[in-house]
Amino acid sequence: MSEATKLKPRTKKSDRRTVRIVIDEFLQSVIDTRKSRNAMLADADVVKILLGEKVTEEMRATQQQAGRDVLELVKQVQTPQSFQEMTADEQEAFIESQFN
Amino acid sequence: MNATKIRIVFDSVFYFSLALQGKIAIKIWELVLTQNHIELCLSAAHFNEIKAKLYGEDMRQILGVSYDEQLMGRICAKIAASHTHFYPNIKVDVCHDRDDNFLLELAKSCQANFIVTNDKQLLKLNPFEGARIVKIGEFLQQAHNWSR
Repeated sequence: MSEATKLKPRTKKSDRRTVRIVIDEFLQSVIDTRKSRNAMLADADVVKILLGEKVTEEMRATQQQAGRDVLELVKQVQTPQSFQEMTADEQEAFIESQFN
Repeated sequence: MNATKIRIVFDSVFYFSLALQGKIAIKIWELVLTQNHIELCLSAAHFNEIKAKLYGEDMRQILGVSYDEQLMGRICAKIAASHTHFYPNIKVDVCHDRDDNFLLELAKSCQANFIVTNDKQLLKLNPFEGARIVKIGEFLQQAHNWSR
């Protein structure tokens, strides 16, 4: 008998079984987590659809407020007097000339 | 009033004009804000272009010593918050000025009704994928009609 065949297995049969059980439990927990996450995502989608119109309205109100804030902020920009005194068309022509 | 949403893409020069309190841009912005059925559209590439305009050398030269980078940053943030964001996954390569194709990609992606620009190369492409490409002044007239 060679030296190799004389070597004992590193783990006993019972230990290997325990390891397998632990791995099975771990895999099951992964599957359960995924299932529950998918269920949560599905629930979120349903809620989103049910409240779709409301969500949209809330988003719209937020966007409009941000738009009003833009107006308030641009009023704080200290634009040169010469630009302010231009007519609307002159202003547009001036701005166009900056980029063309 | 028609409840159908009207999606609008303004080019970055419009926001440049808005930040300078350009009379037409301010009027359009005020009118658009009163219209619930109007949705302003933005993409990441478009927002980068707007930031480049507001933080850029042209703006700094016009405003001189009164240029306030922090204020421009706040304006940019509020512009972003006032728009609906789209993520175009399509490529468009029809504009002579290739740097403007991102605007068309956004317009196609969000199914825009209007592209508002004074850019001659873009105006030549009117209409584009169902969107009317109109000059800023022409759009002001349109916005007036909605508010009546």
